[in-house]
Amino acid sequence: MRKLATDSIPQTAGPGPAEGSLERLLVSARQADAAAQSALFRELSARLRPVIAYRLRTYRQEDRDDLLQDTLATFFEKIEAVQDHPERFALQILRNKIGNILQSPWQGKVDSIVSDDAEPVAGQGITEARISMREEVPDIHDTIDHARRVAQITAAIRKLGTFCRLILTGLLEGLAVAELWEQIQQVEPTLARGAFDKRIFDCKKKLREELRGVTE
Amino acid sequence: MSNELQSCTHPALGELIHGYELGTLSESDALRFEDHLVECSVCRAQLDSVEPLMQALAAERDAVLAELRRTGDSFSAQLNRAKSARSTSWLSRFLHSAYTRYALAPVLAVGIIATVFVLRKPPPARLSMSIEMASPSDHATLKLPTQPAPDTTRGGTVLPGEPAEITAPPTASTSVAPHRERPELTALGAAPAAKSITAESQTDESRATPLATKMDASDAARTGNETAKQELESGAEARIMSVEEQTSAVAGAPNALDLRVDLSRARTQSESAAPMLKVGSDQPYQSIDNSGVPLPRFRAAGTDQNQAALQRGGAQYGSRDFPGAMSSLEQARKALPQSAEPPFYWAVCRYLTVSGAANRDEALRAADNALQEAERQLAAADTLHNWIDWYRAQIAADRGEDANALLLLSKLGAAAPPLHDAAQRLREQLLVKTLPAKAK
Repeated sequence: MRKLATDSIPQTAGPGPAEGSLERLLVSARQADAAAQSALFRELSARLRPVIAYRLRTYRQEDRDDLLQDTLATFFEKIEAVQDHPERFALQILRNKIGNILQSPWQGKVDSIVSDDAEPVAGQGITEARISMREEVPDIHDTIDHARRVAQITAAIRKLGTFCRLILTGLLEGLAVAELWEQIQQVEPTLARGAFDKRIFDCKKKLREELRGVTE
Repeated sequence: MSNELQSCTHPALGELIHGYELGTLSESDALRFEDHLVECSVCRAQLDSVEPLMQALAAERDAVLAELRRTGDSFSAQLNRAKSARSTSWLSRFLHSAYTRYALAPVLAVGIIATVFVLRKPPPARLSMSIEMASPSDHATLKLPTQPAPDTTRGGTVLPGEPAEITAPPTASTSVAPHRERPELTALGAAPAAKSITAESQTDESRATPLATKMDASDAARTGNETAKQELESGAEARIMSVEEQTSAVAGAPNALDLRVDLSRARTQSESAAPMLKVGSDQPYQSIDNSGVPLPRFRAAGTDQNQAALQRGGAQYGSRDFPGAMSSLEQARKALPQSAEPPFYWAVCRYLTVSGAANRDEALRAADNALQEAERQLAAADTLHNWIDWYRAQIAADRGEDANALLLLSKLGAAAPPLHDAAQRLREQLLVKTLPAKAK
């Protein structure tokens, strides 16, 4: 796979160029304009990165970066075929690659650090039992870690005000914003829709502050 | 929508951002949102601003929801509370308004007085019974009126062959105890008569037999008392009887003092049957969601009995019955003194159970002691030894003994990567915690 320079890949999504400018970048990039290619690369990286982050949330950052590079490499290989909307073209390439990853037989498997094939049997010595625990004991650790995180998140949600608790619980339960709005109107009939939408984001920010140090 | 999202290129699609973040969208909606996302810098900025938080929420979503539901904080429950608070606050505002204070208060006062006047308690009804006797030698049959009898105070003589009416005040030989619809037991020794009516005529021949109602009540009470005693003797499902049950039981008991002893014993057994550590609603370790997380199996050398106790402990651990697991592991611990495994898991169970318990310090100390015992029984340093240090370090950190925790963590430098990383994180947290103090 052809590796592209990633030093200049922006890590955060900033305000991108207008749609017309992306089209102009595409035209310039197809004419082998190095500056335009670099700018197009950065712009597409910023647009695809969140999709990768949310589609492959359990994957390591390095794997995600590899996927992004692979996608953009394919994009630039086929840039001559792109007529307009380069971001949509790149997104389709990314979706195909994500599909391949999720369907691959090795996905989800975790390399075992300790290879302990033999299943202990009743009557074995304590030494064997301790060795066999080597791959099991971390499960306790994971369980506790998991429990701690859940407890911290739950406690943080409980610290929020009534409205935020309600909104975040509704979102966690999978309610759509329109459904939430319908329900909230029964509690706060005077609340404007614009204010409601803003308060959802405010609630998220409050929760982020409560959990600062835990999730970041 | 927020100020930023007011310029979202497609607000209807922008709404999907929350579901996308939490992974609750359908696939088609997720695709639609992604099509929008690559074109809308505002949505990307929003997504980016809370990405770590929402990733964590999405990862723990099921467990967090389970915990919220467990403590009665589901969305519907919260919504109902909010609605009820709103109606209460509306009523409160209404009642505290000046208009209400000056205009409604007199109306309410008049209404209350009128209600009290209408519903005032009627004077106690005189008890009345009619006795029909075919002949002086027949047994008397008493009929209790279903409604309070009119105030008939005339005296009279019971004549054979005609209905007779005995009116209050009863004679010395006629004792009538009124039935209370809702008897209240003020003292265990007090035995209010439940539908007990005895009547004696002045003639021996007309001595009334106890009414069927009395027999039924007494039998039922006695039966109920025996059943309750049997349940309480078993100890497993001991329960305290309700006031009505106690009342019936006391009325039917041959000896009220015996019953008092039984009830006292029942309470003791019921309390002893309760879990050693009470599970509070804010107990984080009780809310572990074990879906998909493999749990440890308990295996060790030893007799079949030990194995059974260990396996039982493992199953109880898996179902989060930590007190039960502790009990099983305690058995295995006694029967298998040379193994560090039972005390180790016993201590872990203890540790997992303590948060939120009233005697948390004591429980932490017990867990730490058990770990020390496990450590003593361990022949050489190995994986389990590291984990013992890890749990002891966590206990020390929980108890605020940061120096001790750091010392224990320092032993984990050569531990396997997962444990090493976890220890490193805890060490960093403790060091950060102590930094301000050092700076001072």
